[in-house]
Amino acid sequence: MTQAQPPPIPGAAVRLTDVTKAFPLGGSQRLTAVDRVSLSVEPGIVLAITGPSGSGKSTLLHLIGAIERPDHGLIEIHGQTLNDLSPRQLADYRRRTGFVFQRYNLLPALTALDNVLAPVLPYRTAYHKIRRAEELLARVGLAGREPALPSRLSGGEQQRVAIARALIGSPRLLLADEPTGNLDSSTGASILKLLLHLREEQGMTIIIATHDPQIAASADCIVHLHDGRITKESQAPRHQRPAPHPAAAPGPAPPELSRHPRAQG
Amino acid sequence: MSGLAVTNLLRAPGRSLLGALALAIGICALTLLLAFTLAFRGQVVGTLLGNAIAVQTRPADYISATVTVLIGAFAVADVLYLNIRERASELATLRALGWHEATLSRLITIEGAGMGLAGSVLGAGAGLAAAAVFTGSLPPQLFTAALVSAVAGTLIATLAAVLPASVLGRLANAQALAEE
Repeated sequence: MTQAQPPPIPGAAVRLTDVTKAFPLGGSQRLTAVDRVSLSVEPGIVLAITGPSGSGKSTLLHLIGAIERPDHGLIEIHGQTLNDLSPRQLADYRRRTGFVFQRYNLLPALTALDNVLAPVLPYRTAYHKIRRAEELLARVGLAGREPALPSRLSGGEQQRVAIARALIGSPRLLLADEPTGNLDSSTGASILKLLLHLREEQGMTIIIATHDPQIAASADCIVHLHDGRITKESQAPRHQRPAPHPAAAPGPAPPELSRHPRAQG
Repeated sequence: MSGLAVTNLLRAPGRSLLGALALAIGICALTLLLAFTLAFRGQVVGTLLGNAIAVQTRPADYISATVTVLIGAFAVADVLYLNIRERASELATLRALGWHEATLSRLITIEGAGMGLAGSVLGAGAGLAAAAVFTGSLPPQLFTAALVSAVAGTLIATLAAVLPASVLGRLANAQALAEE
């Protein structure tokens, strides 16, 4: 199956063009985790990336989040091509982009407050960092838990801290890798509700890699990956999709979310 | 960031203490030699046990003390390297959150400096005390010797931290993140 390039969406939050990433397996063998993926994501939507384990969901998120660099292809975020950025500029980009990990990846020696502060801890900011971190913890329902170490928090609370941490840089793009993967269903539902609320509130674009059908059903658009390739795309009917948030990046409204001619069932 | 570095050192207190003690041995020896050189022109004769003790500093003594300090600095670097391996996922997380490589290296270097400072203060203090016992007095030059040794030890440990900090760039991001 070949994947054609996506039609350009003016002002797309994320645009991938023919992106490939492979990892060495030892010897001369390589595992292609993401294979010539092309994708455009409109600002302000929730995109779910689904697929079986090993299908390349996490790698795709890592590529969009500049945690990994592609072997081939272009990655554009809000019109900026990541391929052109220096390592230092990529780090700055990562700090402006929210990333929520499946295993929370909180620093065990730091309190909840310091974990939220972690991305900006060594850097000067235009805002009062501690006050902002406290506000974010309150927003995710953890007011009063600032001094708690991660070991004293439940899984749901740890994930809320991780979400607050992802928001410290006021991101326009939030990437979440299996955010409910380690949580029970009711806690997972509350995390999903929180993410959707944040989208409504701030108009950010959210891309979620997930196995969870509940999350996928809540997304505006679903992309299914298999063996590193997009095998299926679908989106919520137009009337079910939320109105664009004013905070979402401006630009002419695209006719479709990200449906490409290559989409195959 | 200094607070985070100290927190990290205190997470494995036994290991950090070992690194500091390894450096302290060399710094103690260096302090003693410097003390004898500065305060007594390299020669201490008959103070502690009547006239039974005669100590004379020689170049070979300085070489031995310097080698001991360097071995201590390598011990500090080794402890830092172990810490980095154990905390690979945390360091990868900080990188994924937007920390620059230079900032991560600075964190490791500050940890090295912290361990070096602890070892140097311990070693210089022990050397100062030993010199005072040997000579039965505490002339100002002894404190100068202790200060010089402590500063040298801290600087050498800080420089040694550059070795493990250079490993940071080779940590595989995705794998380290998944090891959480």
